[in-house]
Amino acid sequence: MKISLESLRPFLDGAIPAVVATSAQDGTPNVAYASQVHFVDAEHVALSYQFFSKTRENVLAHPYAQVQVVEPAASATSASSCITSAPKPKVRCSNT
Amino acid sequence: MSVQLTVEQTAFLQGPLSMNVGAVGRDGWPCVCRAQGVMVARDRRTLTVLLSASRGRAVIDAVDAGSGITLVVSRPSTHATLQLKASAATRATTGAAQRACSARCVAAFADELKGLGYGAGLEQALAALLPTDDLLALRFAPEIVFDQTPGPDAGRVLART
Repeated sequence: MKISLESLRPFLDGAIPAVVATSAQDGTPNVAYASQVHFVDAEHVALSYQFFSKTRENVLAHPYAQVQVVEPAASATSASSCITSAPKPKVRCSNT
Repeated sequence: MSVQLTVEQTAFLQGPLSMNVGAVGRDGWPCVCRAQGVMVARDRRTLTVLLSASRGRAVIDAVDAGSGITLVVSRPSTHATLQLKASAATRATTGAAQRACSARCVAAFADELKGLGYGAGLEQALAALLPTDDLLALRFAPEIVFDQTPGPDAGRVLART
């Protein structure tokens, strides 16, 4: 199911930490928590990297990432979505 | 070869935790999904991670294709976090013991969140996020363990083979 980044804005308020998956150059996965995912525009989100040394290192070496965000509304049923990012700075979103 | 978890790490893994498991697909895309239970073998060298087969499809496919695996667990009230990685994982059987473990882990997580002020409807939301009707198990032997608690020590290696 294709959904827009705009529609995920309520997921990005930090009520429930997001999770960022990246890959090292040798294919080793890494997962880190992110307190907030910032909406930039319809095709971009931004993450700060104060404690993200491995995530940053991985993205610089292999610029693919997936961010899992959770709908903070307690009654949500389609409560988790993933934002994926490729070298071309576009994001795709999907329900998981 | 695998690391042997400490008694303290093993106890931590039995606590009220947020759990996520990640892998990398054959196409190079990383993927992640929520896990909903972890069982530590008696010798503390092997973990069995429980996840929803439907929600974890990308991770399961990646592991089936030979990806390494990473498990990140964090206690919401303290932010204490561990990350455990291995170069491979295999599917394991699920049965009553795994379902009971998952139910216990999800309930403990819910209690932890209630204590932090997350409100009514939490069980309903967690039931949607962490369904127990299609549990799948992935077993791996950690080869490296990191402290990932936010702060200056994040990323410190606690044990490695």
